[in-house]
Amino acid sequence: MNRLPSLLFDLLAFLAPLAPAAVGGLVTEYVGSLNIALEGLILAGAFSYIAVGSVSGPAVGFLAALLVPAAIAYISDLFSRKARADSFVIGLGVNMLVPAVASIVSQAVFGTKGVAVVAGLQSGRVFNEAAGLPLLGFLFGQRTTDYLALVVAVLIAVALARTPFGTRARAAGMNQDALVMAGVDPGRIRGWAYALSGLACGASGAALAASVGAWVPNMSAGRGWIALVAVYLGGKRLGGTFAASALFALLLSMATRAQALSGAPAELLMALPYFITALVVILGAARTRARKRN
Amino acid sequence: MKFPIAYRTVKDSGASSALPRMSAALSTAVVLAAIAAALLSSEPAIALRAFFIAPFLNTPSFLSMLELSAPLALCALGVIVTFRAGHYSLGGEGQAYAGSFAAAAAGYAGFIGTGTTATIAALVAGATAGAVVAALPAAGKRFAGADVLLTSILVSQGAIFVVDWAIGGPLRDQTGNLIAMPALDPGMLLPRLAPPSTLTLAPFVAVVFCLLAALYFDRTRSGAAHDLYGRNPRFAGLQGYDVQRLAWLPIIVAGLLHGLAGAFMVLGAKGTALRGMSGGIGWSAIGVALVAGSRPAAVPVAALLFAWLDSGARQAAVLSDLPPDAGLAIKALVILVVSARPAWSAFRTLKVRLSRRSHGGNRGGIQS
Repeated sequence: MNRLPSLLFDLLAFLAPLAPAAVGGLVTEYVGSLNIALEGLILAGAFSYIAVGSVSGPAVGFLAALLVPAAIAYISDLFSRKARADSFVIGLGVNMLVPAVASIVSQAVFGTKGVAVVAGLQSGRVFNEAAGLPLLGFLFGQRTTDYLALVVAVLIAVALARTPFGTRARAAGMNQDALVMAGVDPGRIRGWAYALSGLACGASGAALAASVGAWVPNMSAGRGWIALVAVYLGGKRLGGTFAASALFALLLSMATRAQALSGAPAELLMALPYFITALVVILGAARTRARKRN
Repeated sequence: MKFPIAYRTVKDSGASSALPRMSAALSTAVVLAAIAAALLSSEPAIALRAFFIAPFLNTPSFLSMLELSAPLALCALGVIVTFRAGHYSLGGEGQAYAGSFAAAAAGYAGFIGTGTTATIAALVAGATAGAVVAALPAAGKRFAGADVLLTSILVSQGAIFVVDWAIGGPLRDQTGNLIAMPALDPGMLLPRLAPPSTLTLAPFVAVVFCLLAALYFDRTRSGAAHDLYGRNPRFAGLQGYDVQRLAWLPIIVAGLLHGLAGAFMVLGAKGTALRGMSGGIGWSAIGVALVAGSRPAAVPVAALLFAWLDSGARQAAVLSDLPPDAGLAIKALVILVVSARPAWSAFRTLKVRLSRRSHGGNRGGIQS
């Protein structure tokens, strides 16, 4: 029982960089487009936080982490629409381009293409004094950027669920003609959706980079793909996406705990959540297929 | 008022004209490489020379580049096999990495002996490992209709962790600083055809596989069924094709090809399995497939283009101060440019739009 608060604490720490990216993936799903660039956008956010933060401090770094991936996502979608290019391939291109550019800029700015540690950019724990509370302490001991990332995720979720933009985004995904008849440009809605998606991924990236106060190449470690899986596992719904993100965060936190307790190889334990999630995806698909047959 | 555009999906990309795509890719790569050398290096002349001329300067350099293109071509062929069946498998990276590991493990401590038999056994082990990593997504698609894109990337990521552990843990060569398995017995490696270059039989095998795949897609009923299934599975089923087999077999074949590519890397230039040795080959292969217009016959040339970008960037990084990742950035930009519709098509669309407007306004509907 004593281990439960630690497990929940880890769960929240893993959820903070994952949930915003998952919501970002959901935004573009609403407009009927699969954004597979989530992984690259998270990296763009993480690198922007460290690169800009090293010059202007963590607050401006966090802002840059939101805006740079948003701009990348918006421009990539604009290119996809105007050049009538395949958004799937564009996403792949972004995923390849971002780490390469980050490495080149890192070499120029920090003098290394590897790990770049910047003093003062590791996020503090704003509510740490309340972390000792019984039962609910795990809610308060997180890093400030984790809270900020989760706030970004919630705000975007609210925008999707409660604002005209959310309604238009869904209409853009379901029936573009209807949107045109209402006098709304579906391309513009899609562009905003991509920008929001980038912004959400940027929050994820900032949370990751701020947790260690450093840029580590490929530090997203597949979180963008997991976020995409969470969107599908959650049935492309807000609640479901958050729940699926929480499930994966739980698996990761259990893997971390198991490593600490058992001394089993970290890599093997880190592999488990991916295999388990793949099985969950397959079982979910089997269930859906069975329902349709019945 | 603006009208909605029928956005292209990856299904529209199918097999298309390879020549314009490759011309666009080559010219883009050349321009970008020149820009990169000019902007990112303090010695642009040396960087340019290293990028453009060094890989072709002598026969060994060129032949080594040819060797580099072989695994890429096999992986790209795997991508084409899955994409043309409408399965968007993104698990190539893990499949190739598992193939490398299995090939090295098969020869580890020489327990399968040396010589041609051992080499073939290692190649088979590599291909099988790739297929094993592809098995779960294939089964998921066949029996549950699970999205291959999601399951393949998940299983691939998991496999990468497992192989990382095996190479860096129990099978690591403890005598060196490199995180790698012990070097294989030279007797079981593929023979070097033109030393000092690293050229082996691998590029020739890749070309044969590409030609066989081209024959399969263009000349056989099964190939036609494969393509038809990729475009419209229900229609393919109505035509009496074995759609259940097409739901899983292309994914396994792609796994075999990726695994074989990984094995060739070990048995060719590397000589052992190193941690992280796949180095993004699964992602580059998708770019190669795109540049080749999903046409197997064009794959060797497209793979050679990407191998040149890798080789040129590496040489430029050694001989000048051009960042080594410039090659990766150029590859990504080439993919972006090639994915766009050719300019002439855009002009044609514009012409049609203007013509419609001048004949009584826009009729509405979705533009094709």
